[in-house]
Amino acid sequence: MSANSTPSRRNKYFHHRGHREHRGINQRKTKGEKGLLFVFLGLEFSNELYVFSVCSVPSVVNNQEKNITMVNLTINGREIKAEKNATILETARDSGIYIPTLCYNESLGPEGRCRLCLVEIGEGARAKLVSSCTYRVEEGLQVRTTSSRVLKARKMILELLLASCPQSKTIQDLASAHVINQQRFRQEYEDCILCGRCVRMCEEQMAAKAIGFRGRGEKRSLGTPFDKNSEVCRQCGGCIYVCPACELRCTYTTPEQAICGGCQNISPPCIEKEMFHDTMCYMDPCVACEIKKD
Amino acid sequence: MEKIKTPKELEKLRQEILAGQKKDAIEVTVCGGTGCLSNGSEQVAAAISEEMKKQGLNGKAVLKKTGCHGFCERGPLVTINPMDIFYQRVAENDAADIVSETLIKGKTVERLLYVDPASQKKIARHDEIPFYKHQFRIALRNNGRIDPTDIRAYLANGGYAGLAKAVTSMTPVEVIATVEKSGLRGRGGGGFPAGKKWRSCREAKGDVRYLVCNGDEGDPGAFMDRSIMEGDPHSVIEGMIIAAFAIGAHQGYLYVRNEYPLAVQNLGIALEQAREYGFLGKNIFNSGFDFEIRINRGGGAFVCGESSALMASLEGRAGEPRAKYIRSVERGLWDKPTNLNNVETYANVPEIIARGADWFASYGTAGSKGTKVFSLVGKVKNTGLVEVPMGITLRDIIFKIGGGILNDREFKAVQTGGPSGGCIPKSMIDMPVDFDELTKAGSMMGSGGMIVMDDTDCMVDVAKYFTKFLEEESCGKCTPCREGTRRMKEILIDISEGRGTEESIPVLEELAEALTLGSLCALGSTAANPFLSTLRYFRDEYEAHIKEKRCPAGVCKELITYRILEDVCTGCHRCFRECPQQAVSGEVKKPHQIDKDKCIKCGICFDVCKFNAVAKK
Repeated sequence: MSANSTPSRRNKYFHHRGHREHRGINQRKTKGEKGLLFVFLGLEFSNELYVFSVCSVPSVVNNQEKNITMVNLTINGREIKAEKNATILETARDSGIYIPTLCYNESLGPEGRCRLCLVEIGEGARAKLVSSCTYRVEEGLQVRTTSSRVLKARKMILELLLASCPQSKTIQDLASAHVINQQRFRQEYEDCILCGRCVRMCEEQMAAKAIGFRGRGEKRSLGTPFDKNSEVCRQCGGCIYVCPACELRCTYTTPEQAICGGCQNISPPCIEKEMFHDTMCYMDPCVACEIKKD
Repeated sequence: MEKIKTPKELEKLRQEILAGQKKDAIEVTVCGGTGCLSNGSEQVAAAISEEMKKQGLNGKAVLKKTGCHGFCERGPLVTINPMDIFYQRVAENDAADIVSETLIKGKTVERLLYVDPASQKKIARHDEIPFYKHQFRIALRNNGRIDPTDIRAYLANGGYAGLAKAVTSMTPVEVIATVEKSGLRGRGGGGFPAGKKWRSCREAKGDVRYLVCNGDEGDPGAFMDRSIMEGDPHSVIEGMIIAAFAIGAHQGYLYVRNEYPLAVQNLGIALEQAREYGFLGKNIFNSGFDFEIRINRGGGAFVCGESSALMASLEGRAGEPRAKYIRSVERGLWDKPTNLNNVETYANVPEIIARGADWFASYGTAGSKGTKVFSLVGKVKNTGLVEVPMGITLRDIIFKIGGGILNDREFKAVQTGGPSGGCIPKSMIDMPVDFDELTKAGSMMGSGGMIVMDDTDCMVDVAKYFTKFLEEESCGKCTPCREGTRRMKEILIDISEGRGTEESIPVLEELAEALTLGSLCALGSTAANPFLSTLRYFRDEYEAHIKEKRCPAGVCKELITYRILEDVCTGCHRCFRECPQQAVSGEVKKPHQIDKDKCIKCGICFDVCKFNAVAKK
């Protein structure tokens, strides 16, 4: 186990850019998170990746043994000690401080796309907002997770998302938690919030790079190049699993276990088989289809 | 060609080149910048060359094709030295007269001279033209004077002397100290002190360092970097080599947008020549310092002018910025310490080294030293590239150099800093132009675009245009920028089409604040500037659009109506004939009327009426 937390033993697939600002997956506490283990076990894998996944269990003790440098910072006035290379978000979550996220996933390299995890650092005129998922802790850092400026920006981001993807349960919940009861823009009904979790899943964890972003600005979309069926896609379904916009759909196998019914708010992509051919449909029988039949 | 190894050899070569030039030979330069090329300067040059042969001038006069002269409005431009005669709007069939009158008889061709719009006098000498008289050129020092494809012309003007001095008689730390002392700030927009950046890059941990030159000029209406790359590529290359020596880099990248084919071509030729003379490659000036430069062409995304997006693009990935909490001088290209500067910044460096920091620092203001190149465009008489010392007032740029507003209309505002900049109103026209003053006024220096607007420009429309540009050019990575600019555009369109409500401005303000606070990169955090600055200085126009459903400048189509003034209309029937909708009715020699239901507000009647009888409201 201890040997496994040294970089040299990492799977070769993890030595690339996505992880450069990252602690490395095997050093992270997973604390009951519905880990990637779930997906990995049920699916087709190379041996190497499989071994890696099984070993991705927390090893905090090892870090202390190796004299990892700790820094002191305050979050919302509370004094906290954190590992030097940790991000603000990781530190806050370890200390039980809530910061909402959409594009962040513990198993994927942080990118700071959704900007929901903004926090305020610095004092007076030098105070600024940074995305806590990519900003690393520093000695003496003063973090405010709910300052008025943070809340203003966060609320506007949620309002914008609500205006374009109102059917997502996750976004509805976040909006409701932030007391956003209406949005003031022209209503659209998109499915995708372009958070890029699926892209990173496909690239970083599955080493497939079957899907990616296309276009820029308003024309940006997600999918395979030229919308052709991907030759490198192994139909693992990891992309669907990590999607925050439809997160709950794939976490149960029978309709009775659906707690919130979030999946019923949106039209699951698996149903639109004509559109996806066989590219995305990996579950047999397809859970979403089963629910729809009932 | 033997490689130059010492400053002495360089000086000797320079003297040889100067001696080789015939002293009494007349020199004809034809502008080969993109602006003049598109006006046919290539054909003009060919015609002059043909005439010179025909009239037996071979050997007595030399024809040169140079880079941009700056005065693009008047192109194609021809200058004749040593008499310093300046001809403008030269056509192919003027070639014979130029050769027979000027080159042979030494007279000026009156019809090709520039007429000063203020005094209506013809001006023959290049230096006396107001457009040039008030300029001071450092970055553009060779532009329009030398043939950009000939390194010997650059060497004759003292080229590569700065490099020789830096590499053979200074340490890298001294070079950095000189640049720091000169007060040179990044010309790409941010205005970060160049020396400070070089120092932190030099001190960053790492074995390999990279040097990048940002030639991805994307602002609408800005073309100073293009002109320098096209007209004086060696100055950029020399600046890059000096910077690489200072920070300890051995590989440099020139990122140029693919829409600048002439710049790419001239830079390629210049690199080849620099290699040949030993200014690039191994053991430059026998100092043991190696450096190589490679040109990378960008695909033309505005966001790739942002440093981290540019580096992503250089690495072969999609041009998306990343969070720069770890700065690129520490971890940039391929995670190595990387120094990135703009074309104009590098072009200033050789002069700073050759002439010293104090010389450079003697120009400009306390916080912004040296000069800045602006591309002066819009509703101004003389459009083109101008280089002026920092601290000059907007009035001097627009009225002295620019010659005032087109058709002598009223000056309304000037938009500086490209799409992310802001509009500065008439009341602030005596403001000195430098990095800090522009920021204080709610705009920015940016890369130096300057769009002059008169009373027929609608500020809501301006804000709408730039917001639309930014929305299209946002990479789409982060939510506030992708969704926020889109929604801002939607609301601005609503306002300009008469659907604005009481809520429009407060919502826009909230959006602007969220964009500024929450965006990932500078494109997003400055994307609200066009709206914020126009609202700050022209709130009454927004209110007229929203409350009175009226566009005071008469630009927003949905909010204006055309009407024929009965007492002015002579019944000439012109508008009747031109109207594409047959919306004009009336008999000859009697006042006409416009049918509002049929009118599509194309404005043709307004444009064609010779008696100003069509009113726009």
